[in-house]
Amino acid sequence: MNAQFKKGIIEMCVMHLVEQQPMYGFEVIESLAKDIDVNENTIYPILRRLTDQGYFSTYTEATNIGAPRKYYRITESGKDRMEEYRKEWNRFLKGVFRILEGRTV
Amino acid sequence: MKTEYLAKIKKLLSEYEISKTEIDDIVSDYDGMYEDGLAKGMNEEEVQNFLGNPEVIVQDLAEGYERKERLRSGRKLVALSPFISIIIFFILGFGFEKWHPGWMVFLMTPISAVVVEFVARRSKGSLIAMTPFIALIIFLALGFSLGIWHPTWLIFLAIPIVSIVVSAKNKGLWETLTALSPLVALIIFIICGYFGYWHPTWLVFFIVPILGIMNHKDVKKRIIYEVTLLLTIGLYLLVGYISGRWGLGLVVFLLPFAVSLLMNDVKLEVEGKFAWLELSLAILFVIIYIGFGIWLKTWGFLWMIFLLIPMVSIIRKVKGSRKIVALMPFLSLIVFFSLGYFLGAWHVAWMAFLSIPVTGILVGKEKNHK
Repeated sequence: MNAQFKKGIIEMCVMHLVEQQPMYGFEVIESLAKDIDVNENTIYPILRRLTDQGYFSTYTEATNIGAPRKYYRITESGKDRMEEYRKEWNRFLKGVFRILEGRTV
Repeated sequence: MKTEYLAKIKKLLSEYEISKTEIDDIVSDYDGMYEDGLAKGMNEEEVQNFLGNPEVIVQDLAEGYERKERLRSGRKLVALSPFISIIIFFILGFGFEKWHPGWMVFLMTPISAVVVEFVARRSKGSLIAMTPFIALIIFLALGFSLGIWHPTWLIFLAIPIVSIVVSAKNKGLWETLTALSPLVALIIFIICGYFGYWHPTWLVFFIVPILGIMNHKDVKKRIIYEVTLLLTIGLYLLVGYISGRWGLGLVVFLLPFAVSLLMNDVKLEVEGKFAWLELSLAILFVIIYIGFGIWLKTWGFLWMIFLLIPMVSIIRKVKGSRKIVALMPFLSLIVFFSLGYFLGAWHVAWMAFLSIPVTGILVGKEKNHK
C-alpha cells in the first residue's frame, strides 16, 4: 500500500481514537498496533502534527510511574476535521466497493 | 539504555532548525512513553522496538525543517543579497542611467529569503510562497511599461488561487471550484467594473452558491436549487431591464430563501458549511452593497465589505499567530484597493502586498524560535 495513503488512514484512526476519549501517546500507539499493522515510528509525529495544527490539545496528569503523563484531547476543529475525514472515507469506500462489485461497468 | 535512546533522539533533532524548547518537549514525550512501556512490563529492547528507530522518528518529525548547515549557507546568500543589489543598482544607475526600473533589483533580497526559507526546505508551500513575487514582478512590469496598474493588480489574486489549486488534490472537483469561485467572481467583477459595468456584474458572485450547491449529495435538491438561483437571477434582470426599477427587482431574491425554507434546508446548510454569524453577515452585506450601490453608486469600492466575511471566519477559527498571516492578504487587498481607487496611487499601493510574505516570514520565525 502506498505509504502516503497509509499515513492518511493512520492519521484518521488516531483522530478517531482520541475523539472517543483523551489518550496518552503510548496508549494511542498500543491501541493502533493491536488492530492494524502499523509502523510505530509514525504515530508520535502524527500526534505532534495534529496538535500543531490545532486538532488536538494536550494536558498533563500525574502518574505513579514518575513524570506526569501527557494526554491528547480532540478540539472542536479536530472534531470538524474528523467529520470531514469520515465523509471522505465513506465516499471513497463506497466508490471502491462499487468498482469491486462491478456496478460501474 | 533509555538515556542513550533519548540522547540519540536529541542529538539527531539538534541537527535541524528546531527550537530547543521543541526538542526538549519531544524528548520529554519519548521519556514518558518509554516509562509507560517499562510500566507495561516490556524490557528496554522491546520498548525501543515499540517506539521506533530514532533515525526514522527524527526524519518524520523534522519534515519541513531544514538541516542547519544547508540553511546556514542559504542564509549567507540572503545576507549578501542587499550588497549585491546595491552594486547592481549603481551599475545600472551610473552606467546605464537606469535608476528606474533598476531599483527593482532590491526585490532580490526578499525573493532570495523566500527561496532559501521555503524552496530549500523542499516544502510543498514553495510554489505558494513564490507566487506573491511572480505576481509582483508581472504587476510592476505591466504597470511601469504600459501604465495599467488597474486592473492589473488582479494578478495578486493568483496568490490564493495558486494556494487553492496546489492543495486541490486533497479535495473534490466541486469543492475546489467552490473555493476558487469567489476569486474568479471578483476578477470578472473588477474587470467588468473597470469598463463601467459594476451593475449588474455583481450578480457574478452568485457563482459561489451555484457551485457550492454542487457539493450537495442529493441530486434532486441540487437541481431545485440551481434552477431556483438561475430563475432568480433571470427574473431580476428581466424586471430591471424592462421596468428599470432595479430596487423593486430585489424582491425576487426572496425566492431562494423561500425555497430553502420550504425544503427545510436552511438549518442544514448553516450547520454544514457556514456558521450563523457568517450567513447573517453575508445577507446583511448583500443588502448594504446593493442598497448603497443603487442609492449612491458605490459599486466600485463597497465590494470590499464582502472581504469581511472570510475575515470574520478567520478571526473565529484560526488560532494564535497564524491569524494575522491568514488575515494579511485581505487587509493588504483593502489597503491596496483603497489607495488606488480613492487616491489613484496604484503605483505605490502595491507595496501593501509585501506585508503578506513579510508577516509570513516574521510569524514563521517567531514560531521556530518558541
